[in-house]
Amino acid sequence: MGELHIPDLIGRLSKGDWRVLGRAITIVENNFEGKDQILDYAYRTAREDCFIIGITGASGAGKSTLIDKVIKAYRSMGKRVGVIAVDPSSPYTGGAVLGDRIRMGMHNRDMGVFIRSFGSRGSLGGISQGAKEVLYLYKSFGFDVILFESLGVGQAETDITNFVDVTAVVLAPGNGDNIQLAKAGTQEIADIFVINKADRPEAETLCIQLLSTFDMIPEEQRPMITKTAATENKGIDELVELFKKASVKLLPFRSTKKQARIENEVFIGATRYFEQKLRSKARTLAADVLAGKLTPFEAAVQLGEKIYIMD
Amino acid sequence: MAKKARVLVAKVGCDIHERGALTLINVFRDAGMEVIYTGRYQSEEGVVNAAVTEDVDLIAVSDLTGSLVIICRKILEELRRLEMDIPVICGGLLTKKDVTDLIDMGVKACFGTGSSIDECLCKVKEIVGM
Repeated sequence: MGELHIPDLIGRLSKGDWRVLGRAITIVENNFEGKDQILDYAYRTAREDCFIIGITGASGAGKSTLIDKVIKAYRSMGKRVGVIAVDPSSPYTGGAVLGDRIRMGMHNRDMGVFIRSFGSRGSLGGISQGAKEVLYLYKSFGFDVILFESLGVGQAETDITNFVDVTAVVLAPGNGDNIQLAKAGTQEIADIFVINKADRPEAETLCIQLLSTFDMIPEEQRPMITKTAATENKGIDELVELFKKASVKLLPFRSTKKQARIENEVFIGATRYFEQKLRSKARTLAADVLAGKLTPFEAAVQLGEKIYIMD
Repeated sequence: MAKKARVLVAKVGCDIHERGALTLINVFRDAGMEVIYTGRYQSEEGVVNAAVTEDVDLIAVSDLTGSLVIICRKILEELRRLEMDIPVICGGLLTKKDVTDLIDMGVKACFGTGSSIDECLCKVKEIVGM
């Protein structure tokens, strides 16, 4: 494929050429030249009727295996599925083992499924800004269902909920800190709790414990609970039904979420733009500080006042 | 900013011996790369599709059944069919003739059993531009 001219790339994307989708994702994720053009195009052509499901939960709960079966279920309905799978990047080396798609191997030859793996790349909430922006590419490409997998339970940012239509949190019995997780913020973001590995005897106990944490929540706002045994392909149809039910229930919140998401995007975009401008100016001023002309704090104020032109 | 290197480690067919692949996956990760593993029992077509959607800089094929010539030939054919120019290296059970055949067909490097990890990493870094 070689180096692609951005307008050519966009042209091929608009024709549904999946081969360049991978390249477009790379450009967006890495902030390369052409990213803005691609994202503008993607935003303008994004379909609003794609169904985005966020699937989160601690490692070992069986998210990837579950997603594999969910993909199968949607494919049997003739839906085109896009998958975003996020794994943690090492804060020391920056490297990452992106192993989610090991469990989705049966779909590699299905042209109706597109899977892309992402490292968290230093993001606190476990999802890089790039992965969120890629959602527009997926919406524009025309997937009916988008599955967004992340390791996001109990971490700093819980804003994945603004980027997806339904958020499912996967738990597995026997993980000692399950109920802690259910309390520490994930209760607020979970629309559905999925108790995977439900063939285990402790599953019922977990279910009861989970239900008891809902006592304080008014009934209409309580998350739904369902059980699955992904490796046995059990409970998948029920889960898919719940996704549908949840999307209907959450329809009134779509515009609020969109507002929050767009606000976030404008803010992050502006911050990034500023950061670039500030870096080089800061470098010059640092030289002045080291030459004894002013203190770092004076330099900071000077720089801030110079670029501040808002009302 | 330079692109973060992305490598796909792949096993095709019914070979169960993952030790080498798993070792190198960790080596590549520790060297700062993003490593995608498609797992065992894949088809050549599936591997290439994954390489394209993941937009990787390199496909590293592992096999210990002596099938690398067959597997890499199919992978290279599939890459050509899709007009995607992703470099391929391989490692595992190789005869001298295998290596000659593989290099002739366009595989960039071959690492037989007992190869040095450093040598392999060095070559990979060279190919992905690190």
